[in-house]
Amino acid sequence: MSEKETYNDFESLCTGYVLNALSEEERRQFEKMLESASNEELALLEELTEARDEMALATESPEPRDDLFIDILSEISKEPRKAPIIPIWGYRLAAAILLIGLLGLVMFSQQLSGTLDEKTAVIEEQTTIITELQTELEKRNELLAILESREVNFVIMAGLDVNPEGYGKVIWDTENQRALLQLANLPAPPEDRDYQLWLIKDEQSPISAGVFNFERTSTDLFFKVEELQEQPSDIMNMFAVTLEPKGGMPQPTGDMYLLGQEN
Amino acid sequence: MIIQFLLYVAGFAFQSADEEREWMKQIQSGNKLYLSKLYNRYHRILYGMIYNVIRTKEESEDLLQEVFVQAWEKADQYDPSRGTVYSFLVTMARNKAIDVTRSKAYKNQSKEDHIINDFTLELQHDNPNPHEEIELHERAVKVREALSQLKKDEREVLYISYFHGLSQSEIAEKISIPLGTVKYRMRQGMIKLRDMLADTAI
Repeated sequence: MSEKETYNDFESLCTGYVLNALSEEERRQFEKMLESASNEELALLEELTEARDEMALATESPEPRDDLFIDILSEISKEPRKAPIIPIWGYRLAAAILLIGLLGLVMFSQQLSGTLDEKTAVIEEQTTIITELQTELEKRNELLAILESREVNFVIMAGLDVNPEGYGKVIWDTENQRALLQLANLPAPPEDRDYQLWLIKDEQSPISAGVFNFERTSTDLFFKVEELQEQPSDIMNMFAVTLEPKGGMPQPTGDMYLLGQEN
Repeated sequence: MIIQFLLYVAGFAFQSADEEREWMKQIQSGNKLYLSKLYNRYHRILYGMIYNVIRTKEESEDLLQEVFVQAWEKADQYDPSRGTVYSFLVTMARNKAIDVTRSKAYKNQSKEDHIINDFTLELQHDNPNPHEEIELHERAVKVREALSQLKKDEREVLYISYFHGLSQSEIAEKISIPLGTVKYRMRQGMIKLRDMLADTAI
């Protein structure tokens, strides 16, 4: 298509539409087209929308301040969990109730007690979230330290027959003999079992690299591998994950869930 | 091995999107922990996007806060059939940032003509950024690679449109080229970008 041609076909209008760059008239024209659009045309709109949104990933910028999420937490806690405010007349009313009878006092006390319980619950919830965030932050800092290393080997592990959906990745900082393990789509192990990571060098006996446990299947389970004080083989390095009795075994005995070889 | 790797990345993206839909359900039911997960995953990208539009740190932080507060308050308006959680958040962030640039106060600060680039600055950052999650880093590398393969003129039009929120006729006026040329470059750029991202996603 030359630059001199008009641009009122579906594809051209669609690109301008997803970027919200059409004139008002063109936008109406395109939305009219959408009413009778084919499946292919609707798919194009979806794909161009996805491509547009991916552009945000190309940006780089300074970091926002570290405590921004704390502000967000306090902002979202304001409205739905606002504690009831007792106005001055409320106290006078309470005094009146006191005068009226013991029953009124008991009722009022119960109301105050409820408010106190509610506030305590909010504080406990906030404390739990902050503790979990701090733990997660510490964990992430440890993981980032591994990612920042100069000599890092990536080993991708694919799911085997016992659980083909599973996959994993080992990011091995060979210089500092530490590693990061990502596990995804593995079923949570039974209470008496752990997953165990193995390093297999040059088809020799597997070397245990630690046991790992979690309660819920997820795609972003990251673990720091503490027991990988080994140098990589120059010939071949493989990693595998098996399901073993709690605490792990000296050699693999259970089903193998993941296996991958270093490129 | 390359095909395995690409399947792996594509699989991860789909599973990640499913997982985020579950997170949104938790957020809808009032679980703040899942908002923190969403924040951990996306705050840097959204902040980068907002910062590219308005270019001031403090205002960008305020806007990022607004995005997540709104995501919490309007979580029930998220409709999975209309797109991913990432798309929901990034669209909200972009709309808010562009609204700011259109405000009277912003224009009075003479920031309307701030840097117009064509992703060149962003394309220089091909080294892995340890602050990006691995999956997001892989997606970012692909987008940067795809953008680097567009013509400079096409990138420029996409950049202005996406980060400045200008219409095709406003872009034509701003960089003094005919409207038809803007439309041509926008179409070419977006279609190529779509094709390249679709290719890498299998």
